Amino acid sequence: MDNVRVLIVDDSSVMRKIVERSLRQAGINLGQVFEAGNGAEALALLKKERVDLIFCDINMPVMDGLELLRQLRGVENAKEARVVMITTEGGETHVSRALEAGAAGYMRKPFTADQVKEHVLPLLG
Amino acid sequence: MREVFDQMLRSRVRPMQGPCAADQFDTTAMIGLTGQVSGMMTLRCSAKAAILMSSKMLGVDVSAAEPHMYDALGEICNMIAGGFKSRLGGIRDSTTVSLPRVTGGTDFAALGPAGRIQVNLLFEGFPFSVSIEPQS
Repeated sequence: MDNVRVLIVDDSSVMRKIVERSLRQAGINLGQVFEAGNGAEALALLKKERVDLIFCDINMPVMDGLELLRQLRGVENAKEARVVMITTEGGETHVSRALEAGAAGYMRKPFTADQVKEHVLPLLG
Repeated sequence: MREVFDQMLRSRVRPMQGPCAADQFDTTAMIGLTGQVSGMMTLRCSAKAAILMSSKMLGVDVSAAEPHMYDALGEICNMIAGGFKSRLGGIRDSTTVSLPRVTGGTDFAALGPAGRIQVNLLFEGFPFSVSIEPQS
């Protein structure tokens, strides 16, 4: 898939930059990259923009990643988007909650560009 | 912890021999733990070390990295706390990690119950410490 439109949701701007860089290093052809600092900002952005891929942290202020996942079901611009959780929370409970809520993938921080490639490329067909 | 520095900063950390002089640390990241395991995890270093950590994480010059130093240090502390939590076995899911907070300066004292576990390390020649003060 070319010109992938991606939304990166993390309260750390450093982490958002690292995720974008890792996606490019993984050879993913990025179109537009959107950023949000929490789930509420992500929902506001998705009212205006359609995306193909969402990378989302779990622990964030205002609205966390799991709540964002639940609310994404009603968002037209995210209907086709694949959501990958990218978080320090690696426990089975968090993983299963995220997958049940609709996440297509789950990655633990810290991560390498190779791990990003391994998790993301299959989702993009 | 090594995994965090290896994978995110492409840098090796090694144990520091001897004690760390705490007054050289003017940048502190803290994360709280609550639940079956509760307490505080703290990462302390100098501002110069924090800027270099930010530079390594972002892959940019130190001058470009300086505005992001607190964010970077908070994320490193966050990942170290996450790694610690992942090793708690069956009780990890009942332990919650807070959002990180970073403080600049030395004119404060973090008071808590006794029993701190601290490791002193070197990152690119700069000393830093990671400690955990369990309350339970």
